[in-house]
Amino acid sequence: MKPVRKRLCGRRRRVLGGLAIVAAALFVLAAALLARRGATDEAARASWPAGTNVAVASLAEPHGLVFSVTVSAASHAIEGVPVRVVVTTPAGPLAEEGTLSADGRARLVVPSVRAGVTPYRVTVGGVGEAIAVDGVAERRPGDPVEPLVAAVAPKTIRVTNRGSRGAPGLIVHPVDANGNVVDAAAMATVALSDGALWTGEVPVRELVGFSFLPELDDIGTERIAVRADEAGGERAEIAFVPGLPASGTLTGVVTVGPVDGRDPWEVRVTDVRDDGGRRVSDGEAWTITIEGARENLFLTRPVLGGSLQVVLPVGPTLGSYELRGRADVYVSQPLELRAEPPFVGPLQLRLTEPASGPALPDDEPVAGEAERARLEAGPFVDELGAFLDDGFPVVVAALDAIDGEVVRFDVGLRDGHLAWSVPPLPRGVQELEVRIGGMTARVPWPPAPERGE
Amino acid sequence: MNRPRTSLAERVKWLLWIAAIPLSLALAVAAVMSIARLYDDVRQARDVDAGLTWVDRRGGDPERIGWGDADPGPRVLGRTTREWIADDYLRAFDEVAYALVSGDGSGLRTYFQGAALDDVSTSVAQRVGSGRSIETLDWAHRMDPSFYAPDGATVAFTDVHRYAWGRSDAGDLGDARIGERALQVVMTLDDGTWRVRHWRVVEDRSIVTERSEPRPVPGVEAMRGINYVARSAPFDALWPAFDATEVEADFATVAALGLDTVRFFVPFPAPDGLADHLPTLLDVADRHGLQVVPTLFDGYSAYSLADLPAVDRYLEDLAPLLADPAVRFVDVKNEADRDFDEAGVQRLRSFLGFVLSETARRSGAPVTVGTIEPDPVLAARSDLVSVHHYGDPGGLPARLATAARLGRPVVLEEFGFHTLPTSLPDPHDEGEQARYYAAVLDAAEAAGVGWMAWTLHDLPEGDVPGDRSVERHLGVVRADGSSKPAADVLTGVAPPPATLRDRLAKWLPLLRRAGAAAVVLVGATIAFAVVRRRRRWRRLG
Repeated sequence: MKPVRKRLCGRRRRVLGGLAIVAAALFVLAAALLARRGATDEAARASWPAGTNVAVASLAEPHGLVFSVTVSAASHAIEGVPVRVVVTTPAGPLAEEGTLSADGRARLVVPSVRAGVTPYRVTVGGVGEAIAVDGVAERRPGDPVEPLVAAVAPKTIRVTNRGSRGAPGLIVHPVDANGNVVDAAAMATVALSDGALWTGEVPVRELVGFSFLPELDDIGTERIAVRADEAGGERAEIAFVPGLPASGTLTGVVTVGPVDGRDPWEVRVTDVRDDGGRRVSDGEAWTITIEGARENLFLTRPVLGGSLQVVLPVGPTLGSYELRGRADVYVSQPLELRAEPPFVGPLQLRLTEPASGPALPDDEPVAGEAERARLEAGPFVDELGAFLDDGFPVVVAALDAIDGEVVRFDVGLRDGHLAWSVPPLPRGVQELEVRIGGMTARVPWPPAPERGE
Repeated sequence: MNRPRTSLAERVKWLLWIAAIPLSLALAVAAVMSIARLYDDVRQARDVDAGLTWVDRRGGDPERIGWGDADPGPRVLGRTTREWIADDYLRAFDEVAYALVSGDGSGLRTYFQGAALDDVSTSVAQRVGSGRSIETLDWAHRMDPSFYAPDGATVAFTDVHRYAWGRSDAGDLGDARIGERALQVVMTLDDGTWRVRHWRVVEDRSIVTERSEPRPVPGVEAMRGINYVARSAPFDALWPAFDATEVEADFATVAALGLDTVRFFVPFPAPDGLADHLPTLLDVADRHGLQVVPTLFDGYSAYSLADLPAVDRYLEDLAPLLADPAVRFVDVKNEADRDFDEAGVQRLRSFLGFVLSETARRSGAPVTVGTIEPDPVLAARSDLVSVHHYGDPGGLPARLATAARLGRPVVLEEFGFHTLPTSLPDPHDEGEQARYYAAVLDAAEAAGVGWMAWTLHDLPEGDVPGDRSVERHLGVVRADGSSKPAADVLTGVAPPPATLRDRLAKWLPLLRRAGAAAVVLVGATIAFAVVRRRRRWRRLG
């Protein structure tokens, strides 16, 4: 048996030897690779003899740019030499690769179909070769194809006494099969309302064909057809419609109403016309406004058949309201609307003291209704003698010495009467105010004692 | 013959084996597919990340777009609408840039339609097919509107802008092109977004071109110059800590040495103080009858397409100064060939090609790239070839001859020799430096090449490249302001002859150190042996 030290030495020697062999192998491999790369580069550089000529011809075909590359290198094998063409477009580069044939030719098709100039670079040879040819290919748009898309702008034009508002225009992009805008002018034919025909040229400049079209003096429709060479398209239309509302008759159907909201006001606008006296188109906006201290109302409704009818809730307080109709710059004469009390007769309140005296905040909670003061009013009847509806809103406000509202209660009528047990109220309440149908009345609080002391 | 009967247990065992084999195969296939899917997901995520990063990098140019003042009609194109259109138009380019890096074209429909959508889809499909991402950049858009529809939904304009693109190629940038194009564009408004519908390139020129007619550099063959690094604030510190008095004195020294040209460095991005102090430096040079060679983009080595807008502005800002009559020629990058490996040859050639073209266009001065070994492609885009040489003077004629074959005037832009006596294993002394200078100047004169020595002063303070101590001892003037013999050589004085004592003297520091090291080594060995023997005696009793 070998001594331990010797065995270790032997193992170490073997490991070191192995590492050395691996390192040597790697070194040899790397050297070979480098040498080969160098040889390739050198061969490539050397592969093109002096006088080598690379000719590139580009042709715009419908499916792309075709590059014909011809390499003439005397007494030199060029079959299989890689050829590469790269074109630059605003959408990014496009590239195509191929190889030379035995006679030094290659044909590459790059899928670039956009009209205009396209710079290209053709490279012949592999890594390290320096034969590159730069150039610019040019493609002109082809013939226009159907369907020709014509857009009118605007599609609707108002006619006014001052002429139409916005001249009609026609936008055309006649394009070829690849979507390139054709530079040739298009022809527009316009059928006017009176049956006359108008024909005009639509020149195409900087990818846009645009022309103004004739204006109509009155409402009607222009029908437009466009052709570019043999290509046609769908018909476009421009509608000449009445101008904005400039007049109308404002009348009140129901101009007086009670504040209870049960019966609303009703107004009607008729004969809405533009400044030329033409009945306006359906859907034109008409605005009703009420302005004033009592109410601020703004309401827009569409005109239909030259008129519209509007139902409005009666204002919350008694009195007159001034209503106007507005459209664009037109403002109508005012129409007076009135809000009246919903019941007949004065508002009189009765406050009765409970047997145990008025309720005070410091008192113990009362046990029953009989121990509270009662506030009563009524009967409330309308002009037909009918009680106001059950639940008709009544507000009872407790006021302090400076008329400040300390607390308020929403209560309702029942059987045409107000009968309300006054709950304990905060200290300092001086009066109770009852508000009903726009009317108010007050009673002092607490009620004066009826019995003598 | 009776067949041995198999037990039930064995049959079950066989059945299990038979079932296990296809199951194992299925599991293996599923595992492989899962790994493949995971790899694909990771790859896609990486591509998307690269795309977003690229869009982020390229989008930081505040002056990317501008409108012409003309109102095209028939509808008035107001400022707000112009901003809206421009915003969507630039986003369209950003979307293409993202798609060409990431291969993800899902967002193209947001900004393109019709024929333009077909174009970008084709490009992105080809990028996906090739598997190689494409970096694109666009900047300096100048939009001249020609039509704005009455309904406000169609706009046409001509956009003249600069662009660059390159295909990633194993760390390099293949097929790169930097150019300027005029693009007619029609955009339409749909769903609140302006989309590119039609476009046509009406003009496209490469900015990076060979200089078929290089500008003359009068008298460059007789140029006698020196590289200037300020003693108190070397390299990058020059501009922020510019000391006009020091520059005045230094340039006086240069003039006193009979030199006619000073080369100095301008970092990129432009440092603080450059705009204020560069005119001063030019004035000082002019006062002393010196011409200058500014060397741009010092300290920059990214060569990223994304930096081109900033490069454009840098050159625009420097243009008036570079057009100064004192500028003999402009070196756009110092020792660019040292960056070939890191940045990639194609990337560097494209980037510096752009810089050369734009510097020449803006300054009017001849342009060059500083190199150790001149690059033929960059040389073709330059007006003169610059060579740096720090090796054996004997190798200089061959290097100059190689450079001359590139068809441009040659200048020896840098040569130098340090005087650090303690620099092992190659210590130098001042006499050697002088003789080196004499040999180099002889070779340059023989080749008919102008020269610039490196450098004026020794640099006792401040940062130097790589923190190498020899960089501090390359001057022809000592740190205390006294001249070394090499300075005399520049004035035409012959260098001191090399004596045997000189030759030995330069090795004296080395010998001293070697002797000291040997003494220490022998002493340590003896001490170790004594200690070891004592221990053995102790063990033996």
